[in-house]
Amino acid sequence: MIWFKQWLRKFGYLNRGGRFDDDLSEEMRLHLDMMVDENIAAGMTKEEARKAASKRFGNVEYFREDCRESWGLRVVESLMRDICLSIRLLKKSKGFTLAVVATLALCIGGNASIFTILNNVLLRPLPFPESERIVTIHNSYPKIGQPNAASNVPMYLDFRDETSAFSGLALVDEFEGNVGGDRYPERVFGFSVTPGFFSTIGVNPLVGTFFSEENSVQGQHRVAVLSHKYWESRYSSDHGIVGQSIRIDEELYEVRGVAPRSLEALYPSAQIYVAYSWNPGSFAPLDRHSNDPQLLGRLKRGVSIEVAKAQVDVRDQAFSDSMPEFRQDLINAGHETIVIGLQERRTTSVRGVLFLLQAGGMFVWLIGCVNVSNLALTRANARQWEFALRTVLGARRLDIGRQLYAESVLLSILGAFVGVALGVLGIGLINRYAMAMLPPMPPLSFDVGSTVFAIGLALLSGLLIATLPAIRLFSRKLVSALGEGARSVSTGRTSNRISSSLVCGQIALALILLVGAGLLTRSFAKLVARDVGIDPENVTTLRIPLTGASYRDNANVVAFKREILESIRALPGIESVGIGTNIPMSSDIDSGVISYTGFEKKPDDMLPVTLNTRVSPGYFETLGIELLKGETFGPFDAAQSRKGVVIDQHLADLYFPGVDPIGKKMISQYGRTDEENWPTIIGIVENAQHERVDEISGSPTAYYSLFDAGQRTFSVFVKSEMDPDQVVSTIRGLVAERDSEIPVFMSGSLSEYLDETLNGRRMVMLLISIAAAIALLLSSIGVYGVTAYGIGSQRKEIGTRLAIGASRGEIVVHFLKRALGKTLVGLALGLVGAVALSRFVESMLYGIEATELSVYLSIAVLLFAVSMLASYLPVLGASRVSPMTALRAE
Amino acid sequence: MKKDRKDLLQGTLDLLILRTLQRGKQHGWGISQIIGLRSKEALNIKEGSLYPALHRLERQGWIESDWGLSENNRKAKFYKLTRAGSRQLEEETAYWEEFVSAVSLVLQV
Repeated sequence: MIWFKQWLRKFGYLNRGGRFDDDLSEEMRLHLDMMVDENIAAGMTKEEARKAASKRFGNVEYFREDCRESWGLRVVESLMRDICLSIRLLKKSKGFTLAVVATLALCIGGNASIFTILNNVLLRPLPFPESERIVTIHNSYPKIGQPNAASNVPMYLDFRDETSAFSGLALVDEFEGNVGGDRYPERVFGFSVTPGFFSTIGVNPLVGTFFSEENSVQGQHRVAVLSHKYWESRYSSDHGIVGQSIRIDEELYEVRGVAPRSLEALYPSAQIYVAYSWNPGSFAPLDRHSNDPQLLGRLKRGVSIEVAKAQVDVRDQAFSDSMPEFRQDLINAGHETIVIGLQERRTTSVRGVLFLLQAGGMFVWLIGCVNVSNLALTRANARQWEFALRTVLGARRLDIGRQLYAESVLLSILGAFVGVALGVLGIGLINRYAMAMLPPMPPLSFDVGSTVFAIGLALLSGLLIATLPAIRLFSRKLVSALGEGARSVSTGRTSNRISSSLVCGQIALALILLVGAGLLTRSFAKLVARDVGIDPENVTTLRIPLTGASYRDNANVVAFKREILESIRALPGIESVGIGTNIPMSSDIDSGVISYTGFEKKPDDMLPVTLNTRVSPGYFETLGIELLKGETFGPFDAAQSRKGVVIDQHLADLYFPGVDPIGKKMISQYGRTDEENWPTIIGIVENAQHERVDEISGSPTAYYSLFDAGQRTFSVFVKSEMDPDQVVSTIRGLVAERDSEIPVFMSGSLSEYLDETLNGRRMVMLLISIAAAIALLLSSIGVYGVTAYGIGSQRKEIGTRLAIGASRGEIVVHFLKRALGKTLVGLALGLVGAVALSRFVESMLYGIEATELSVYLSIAVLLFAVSMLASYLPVLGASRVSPMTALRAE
Repeated sequence: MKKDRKDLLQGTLDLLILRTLQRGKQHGWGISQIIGLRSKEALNIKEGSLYPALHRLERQGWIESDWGLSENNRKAKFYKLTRAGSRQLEEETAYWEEFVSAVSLVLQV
């Protein structure tokens, strides 16, 4: 408590303000007067008495300072004085202040925005109790291009019953359905989950309860839990909804409860949760490798991932032992069951991207700091004389240095303020445009962590910026500046040398960033221009779910598809129309192992899995997938009881090298039907990409006939010159004519749709390019500034040279040579750095090597040109000066 | 080395001030007079250095100050020992005596 009382006393004194000095003077004056009186009494003259008293008392000013210091007033006072002086000086040089604050704000704002993403996505754990114990468990077949397959019911049951590492396990699958009944019909998206899902994640119902064990049995599965968001928007947070029934896809579901808002951190767009159910005993052992739902688990307290993985491996081994005929296939596929933290799994794909962006941001910040440093150095040089004078008047170097630091910290705090504002703006833009590059998550907010980061970065900038002028201050005899006076000939060759080497560093950093941006841009261009085998031009797409009870009969489903196909074809202005079960590059597509008549698998064959999809007549024409051989589906296939399959070139090459596949029978997921019922290969088409962009693995594809099965949700593709909106509304009308309960969704232009699948990559490219552009701008400003300053300080030299007969050309060449040296050194450093760092972008590139020479060369040439231009401008200006003006300038 | 000597001197001055104020409140001039008298003018102190010491002691809370009138009716600042100051004086006196006797012992050898 003593320190507290001392502070109280101190502030008592501080509050007295000016009175402190008055009191002190009064006190000392009394003392001196008494001494003088005493001396006079001892017989001295008045003058002698005063001198003697003064001598015995000592230096009044000195003691006064000492008194102030004993109250700790000096530090506070001088700090206040430094700040006030700084404010005054900065007000005086508005251009300098503006340039510095703008540069810092840009750098700090950008970095703080990126940090906000990084912090939200990578650093902050999921908002569930002990969320680090939540894991996902999935099959992995790296050797056949499926490193991250999903899971299935047999795995779930096996691990639930036969391992002890997990306190909870749950299957999760995407779910969509039509909610209708009491109010307007609506397409909802969500998840079907097993009963343990909520406890595995670690959330409790906000209202009501969650699912119970029997809900995972088919038939008892009609229960639903609403997401907080959906409960709010559709049911106005009505507690009475619990226990009531809602209609989903024409069936009544009992609402059990409402999930808490925290679950939105994991599934931000989910509206509803329903029970994941199946018929007990309906699974064959092989279904352990038919992958669809995701399997989540919660590790028991104290159980590590390694222990869980070991237990899972034991079960895999047991399965492999029980199915010896399948063992070799698993080994060929490189099968392994992976146990990995949920958060890690969610963020692996963006981890590299985010660190890359942050690194890019920090490069820009460094470049910005160099510019500001150079500005500050120039300013400090201009103030040499002032510093010298202050030294002569008794200021310590420390005092001057402290003032320099106060000034730059003040500047960077201003920068931080504007930077935080820019950061908030940046996060707004990211929420709006850049969420595609992140895993599903609620909108980001610029929070305390981001602000602390911004301020920290600002203070660091302030320290960095003041260090150069301060080093210079301490490394030179200040007083000699007084001698040089205002007529200094070459203000600081040394400082120019420091600035020059900083500029080299700037050029190097800018080159590294530009190369990164160049590689990503080139890769993106290749991605856009890649041959996807599909021509989306003028194609409109929409998705139709047949959810009414009558569509449980396959015949009705097939009839609906036929009718809608016919009626669309009959519309005027329609070039062609087709139906497929999947939208290329966006929805999940079935995959499996195929077999064909006479197929003998060699033990070490490593054949990738085949994608299966179902399409109607007209599909290939509409999507522009070219027929290479044979024929495609016709309208009369069913009538002629012909069962066909169309394969792509890739599949033909893999399975039928040198053989004509047409006429052969083939099947995927063999073993279910007799060979005579297998469809016959009727045609070969060119390769087309059906997988998502980030999963490009070039899997072979088999197209089966749409009418051979009853998929109830499908996509219609229409090629027409008409406006997509018009096409959609016309078809919507056609659908409503047949069944008014059926919604139409995911509708629009196919080319826009395919383009949107690239949004994530586009954002990364864009952000890095912005960073690189800022880096280019800042470093060219840097080059310009240093050259201009160098010339400015050598005007007299230029004047002399011109006066004794140098030509303007010679002057230009002289200065350009120096700039050339700096630029070349910077470029060389940058190239080395870029090659060394290129491996960090490697995984983000498509169709281009990280060491692609042409990118490096063109960037180097660009930067060279910009740097030389930035130097040429001030040099040109200087060479036009008349010798007399230059000589008189000082 | 130099710093140590200064600290020692400063500490000593503090001790002298505290001891002087034990006899009652006094202003700066008075304190210097009393120290001068008692030490028979043997201590050569710049009298001005009294004031930083007084302020330091006040900040520590060992003495308090108050404005009053001096013997010749001039406005003067009077200092007075606080309770914490009395304790401090005891401690410092004990320390000083120990210190002196220790040094004397060494010197007598």
